[in-house]
Amino acid sequence: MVPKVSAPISKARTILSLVWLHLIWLALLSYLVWAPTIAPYFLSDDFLHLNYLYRVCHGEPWLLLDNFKYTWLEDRSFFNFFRPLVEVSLAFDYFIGKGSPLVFHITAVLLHFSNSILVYFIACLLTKTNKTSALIAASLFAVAANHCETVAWILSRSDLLVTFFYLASILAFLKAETQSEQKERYSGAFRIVSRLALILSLLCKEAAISLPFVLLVFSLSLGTARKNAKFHIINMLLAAFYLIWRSFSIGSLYGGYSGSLGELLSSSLGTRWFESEALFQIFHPFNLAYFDKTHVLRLVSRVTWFALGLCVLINIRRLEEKQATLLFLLFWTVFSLLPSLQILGVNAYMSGSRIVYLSAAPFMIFLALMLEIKQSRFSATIYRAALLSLFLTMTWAARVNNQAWLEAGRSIEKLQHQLLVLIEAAKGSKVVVFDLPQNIKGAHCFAYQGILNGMLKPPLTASDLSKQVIALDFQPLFDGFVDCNSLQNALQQREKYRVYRYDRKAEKFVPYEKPVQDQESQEHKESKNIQGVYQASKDEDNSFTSLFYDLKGQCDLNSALALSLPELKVKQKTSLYFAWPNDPDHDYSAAFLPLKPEEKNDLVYMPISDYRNWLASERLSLLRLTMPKEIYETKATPTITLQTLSAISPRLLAADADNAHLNRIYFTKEYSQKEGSLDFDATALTIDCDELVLEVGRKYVAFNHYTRLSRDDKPLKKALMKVRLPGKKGRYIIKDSDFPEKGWYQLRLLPFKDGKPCGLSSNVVIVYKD
Amino acid sequence: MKPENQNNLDRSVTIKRKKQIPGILLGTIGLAFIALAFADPRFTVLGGPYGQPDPQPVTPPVVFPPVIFQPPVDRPPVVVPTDVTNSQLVAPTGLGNLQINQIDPHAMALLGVQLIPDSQFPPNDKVQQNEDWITVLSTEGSVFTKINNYTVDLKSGEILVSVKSPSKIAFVITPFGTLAFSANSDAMISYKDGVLRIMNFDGDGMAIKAQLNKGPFGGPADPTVTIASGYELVASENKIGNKELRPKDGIARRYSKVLEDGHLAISEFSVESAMKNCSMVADLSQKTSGVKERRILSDMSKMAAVLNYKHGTQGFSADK
Repeated sequence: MVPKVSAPISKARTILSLVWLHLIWLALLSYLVWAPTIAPYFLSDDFLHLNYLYRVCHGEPWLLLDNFKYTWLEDRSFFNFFRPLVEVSLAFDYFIGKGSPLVFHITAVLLHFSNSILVYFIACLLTKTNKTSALIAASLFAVAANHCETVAWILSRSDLLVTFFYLASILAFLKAETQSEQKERYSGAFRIVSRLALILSLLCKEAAISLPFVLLVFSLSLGTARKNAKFHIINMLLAAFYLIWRSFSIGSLYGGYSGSLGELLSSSLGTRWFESEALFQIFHPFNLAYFDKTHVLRLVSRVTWFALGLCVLINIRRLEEKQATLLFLLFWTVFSLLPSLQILGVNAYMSGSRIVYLSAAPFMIFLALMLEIKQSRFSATIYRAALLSLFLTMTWAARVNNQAWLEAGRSIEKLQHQLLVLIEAAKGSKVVVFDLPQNIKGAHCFAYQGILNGMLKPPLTASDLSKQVIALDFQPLFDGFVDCNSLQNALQQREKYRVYRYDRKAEKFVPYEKPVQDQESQEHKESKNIQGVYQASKDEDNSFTSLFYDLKGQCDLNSALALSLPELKVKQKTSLYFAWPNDPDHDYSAAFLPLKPEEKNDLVYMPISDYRNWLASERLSLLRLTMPKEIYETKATPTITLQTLSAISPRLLAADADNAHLNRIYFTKEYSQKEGSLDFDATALTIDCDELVLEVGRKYVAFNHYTRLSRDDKPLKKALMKVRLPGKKGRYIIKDSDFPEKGWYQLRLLPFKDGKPCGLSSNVVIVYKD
Repeated sequence: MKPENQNNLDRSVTIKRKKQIPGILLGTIGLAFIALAFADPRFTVLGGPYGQPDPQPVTPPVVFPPVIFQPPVDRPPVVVPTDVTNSQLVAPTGLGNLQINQIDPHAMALLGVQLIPDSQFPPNDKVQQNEDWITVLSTEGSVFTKINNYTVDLKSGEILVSVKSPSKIAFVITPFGTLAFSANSDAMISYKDGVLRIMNFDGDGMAIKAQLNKGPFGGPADPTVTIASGYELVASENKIGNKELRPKDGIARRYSKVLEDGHLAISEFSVESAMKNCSMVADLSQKTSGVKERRILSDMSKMAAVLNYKHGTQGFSADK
């Protein structure tokens, strides 16, 4: 005879089974949506960490502890971060998987699944009775299409881990606050767990600094702030202690991205948020590479948000019953974003979307909690339908968005393999590469020198091959520039350097064998007018029109264009756009030259050879110049003159030495030299100048970050050093002691006339110091 | 001292205000969701250090390359075969099999014209060549002068120019610019009432080039183009309308496109119908004795057959 089960036990079993059913559903969702992300190879910053992890697991485990007292990877450069626990987590994966990307990716998916579970339990506690709403919140979080970057990119571990501990801390605090009087004794234990999770989250990412405030606001919403005053004060003290500890470790209170990149990010926040599509992309997370502007899913998403908005407005009076909880969730959503303010920004290809991962948790709970409001049948039906639509849209979009990361992983793995083959074939010569992919459909690659170094070191190679490859692309903020003087230099020394261009379309390196003229013949080349051959129609709103110029195949690697714009009257910030027809498959226009209203230059220079698309072109026959209304309305067709770079810009070359090659000078431990020679030459300049000034930028300052141009005529406002050079041609010696701290520094020449800059700056020479 | 009910009123106003703040906040959220439904940001690929170029506030549409440079449909080179059973021609080319409603008429029209750099236009210098196979025929009333054996200055009227190997090149100077005819090309050129027509009866894609640099085409925006076989280029002092595009001459045409500035147009014509309706070609067919005439007619007929085979005959219509 089957024993009779009492009613409470039966009820408990039902609830328990229901919870387990929910968890299985979440596991299934996580698997269905995120399983493809376990396949990609390492990408971008992952390579910076691999060699470090290799050293940790091969006799230098103390390196992990160093992360607790220095910056992340001891790299006090652009990346001034303090995330010691993330490196411990990565080291664990490395140890388990022996460096295989698979284990890193599996951990990422598991962490995301765990975070979905935490969202579920938090939502359960906030909704108190209805587990369905909690399941909806967790399901929306599990499939959100914004999460592709977070889950698919290994180095986004910091976002996954901080969210895990952040949610754990909130869950524990909620448990403590919602314990019945009989179980009051457990509350203390939950508060300790909450605090412990707070500490761990602070060690994962800076975003956790908002957590003590979020916990305080939750107490305030419950009216228990006074009761928990001690708990909150300790949390605040812990946060303050963390800030002090972090400041000492990284040498800065603020941290984050530094140098010119940091300045650029700090100054462009408004532009990134309100002039770009960042806000829009968060709510319509469709990667433009896969979902064009007219894709049906975009329309569905619009209808969904319209329905949700309408329901919120209709039921605004009824929201009062959940007012405190809803406001707490809104506060949490916004406040958790604030610490990442510097790099907030999501582009049309969903790059940067990892930033909103943590904030998505409270937002999804907010959306689901609205179901708890007593709505009219009509409104409730619409709201449920909208949530279902949101869920399905997100699931579909997430599956598709993941493709970018798969493609990028495959492409970078192929690139790395080809590099190894090239090094092997070079037989002692250095391999010089350019036109490398920085971003594949929104998935980060950043294949610049630092990342290539990571690709060519153990554990991915048997020995350190990083010194064998030189990347000429500007770094790390990518504007499509290539150091063309270094390229010419490399092409003139074919026995020493093998030059390859990366064909991004074919995903392979191709030998770059364009002939280079010697410098003397380049300097004596006469400037030539280029004929305008054809005028295209104006665009739809008559803002722009294009002119085509016949280049007659006279361009080479040392070409520049001079545009005569005699009646130029620019009323607002605009640009001249250049493109050429034999390069139609690039993602964006080939080159642009900004024009500012206050500037009235009759002659504008375009150092076109600095643009990688230009160098990558097989044939240079026709040039398309797209110009704004202000210019074409004057009916004065711009005259274009083809010139040499040396006619419009002085030349600065690092003289070849043991510690110097291709305009890079190394004051590092492996070289004994403490000096470097800079050869400067402005004799071919057609612009009248009376002196040359050598500008040395501050640490980690890239000149192009300020103007987004490869060469400009604006003197640096804050320079490490400015030196007036004697004459127009000569040699200047720089010393190791000129550079106070470890890092890299850019140097350039700027021509002056009567104390004012009179022409474009030279190419850039980079000094590395450790 | 305030009365008690006044105090209660103040308190109720304060409570009301407190309730209003969250209401406004939540209302803003609702409005924000609706705004998101209608938002239409410019996709400027901006958003942090993620490898994209920094856009300017206003981004011009980079539609590139313009269709006139790169026809959207890959066109095989048109040659005059001596043997129409050549295996290359027997193989289906695809275009002939398309249904008429599947074809973009503008794209098809643009197949007939291609912009080339000025440098590709041959110089009108003294050419060392056998000039025996350059033929210039004209209709009655045409005004033109022969500058030399290979250059004609057309003032008005209609001429037919044929250049056959071993002759290399001939030029026709028109009020709108110069035309160059390479070996193995036959074309009819007419200039009447400010309208210049060039009909390529027979000649491969680069055989007939027009450098339009006078009249409305003067100045920097002067186009140099090639005209494909079976296409007619129309240039006019005034904006081209249907009257210029489809004159009532009995020649069947299809796929017309007025080009950017309205002074230039391209359309495909039926070589077969032109041979029947063009008086000059009809006269030519009467002269069965001349070797040159026979060769011109033979090549035109072959080209008509080839074009019918490759491009199909659907859609041609003539205005009479």
